[in-house]
Amino acid sequence: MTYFHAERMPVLPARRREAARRQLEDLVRRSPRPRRRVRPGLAAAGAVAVVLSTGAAAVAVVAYRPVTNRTQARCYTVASLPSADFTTVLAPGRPGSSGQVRQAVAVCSALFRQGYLRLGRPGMSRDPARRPGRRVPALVACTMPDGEAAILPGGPGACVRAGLAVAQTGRPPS
Amino acid sequence: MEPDSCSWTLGSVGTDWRSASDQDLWSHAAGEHAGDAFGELFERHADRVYAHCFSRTGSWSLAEDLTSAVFLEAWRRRTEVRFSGDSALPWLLGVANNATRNAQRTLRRHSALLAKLPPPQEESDIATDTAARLDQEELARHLLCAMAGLRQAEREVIALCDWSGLSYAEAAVALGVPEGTVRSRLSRARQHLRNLAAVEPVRQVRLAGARQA
Repeated sequence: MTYFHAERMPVLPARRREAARRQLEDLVRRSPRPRRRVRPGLAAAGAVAVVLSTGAAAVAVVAYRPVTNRTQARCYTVASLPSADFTTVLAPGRPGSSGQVRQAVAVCSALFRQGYLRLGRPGMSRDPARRPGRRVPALVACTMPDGEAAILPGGPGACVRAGLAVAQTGRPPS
Repeated sequence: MEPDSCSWTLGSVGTDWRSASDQDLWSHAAGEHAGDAFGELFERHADRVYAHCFSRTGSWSLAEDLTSAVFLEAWRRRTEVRFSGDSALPWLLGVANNATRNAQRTLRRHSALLAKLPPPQEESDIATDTAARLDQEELARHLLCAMAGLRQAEREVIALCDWSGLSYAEAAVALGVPEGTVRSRLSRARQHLRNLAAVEPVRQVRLAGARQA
């Protein structure tokens, strides 16, 4: 005997669902963002922690991994992952081309230069034409766990700090 | 654009919430796009929370209010979230357990916001939907009645594992106890229920979207 039938189980009614979602989003938007307060006593400890962590990063092993998903790549505007702020660029055709990772870096660079992407800002700018010729940050290609390329601002250390491998492009790294 | 890059096209503009994990979305709850991120979490898990609230109350209309209240509570307690893998669902169902246990208090806390939502069950005018709802309500009440003799903790673990289909590990996250405790508690609860009621084993009871525990 089955008490509940999955195929007959009603879902949350659409009007109610929409209203509840809108209300939740409004509430969340109106909520004050938490402020980060650094107490003076902790500032020195924080500085020591930064020095220690920087030292740790210096000796961290950099892993290299080839990009296997060559049909799309992610352009990030922040180097800290996990983050949902990325723009996906697609590369139809020519799968398997070894130059595609470098192309992905070039495409993300172009989006930064044209003002569509801005360092540290989520999403894409809606009025890029007003301020063309923007500075392009240093970008590095990392490899996501699923084999997709993730282009992050920063050097190879950015991949390590984000928990990703550095993308292996063509010849093995020396 | 640089040479060789002309074959690339823009795949998605702005933030791609749908491909983001629950952890990504939650991390944005403190940022600039918190509303959109939390809205996506609601869209993702509202039906499972709704079904769980129904299984604990036997009332669709109460479950509608409680579903909203669960997400309002989740927002209030957002810093306490625990993930199972990448999913926030087990923790949300744990919040739902607390909300249904103290339903009146929870609803009272959020009464001002709940009053602004459309009244429950406005859309249940389709005959088949109404029949299904009544059918499920009757069955739920029957089962809740059979479970009345169980301890609170036993009812909760059965609702999570046997009705909402959480794994032992996920139920452990929802309840905030070790996985071994979930196993032993569930085993005792099932045995207790068999002794209490002359019904089929509870493991056959399934809710929407449930999978084998």
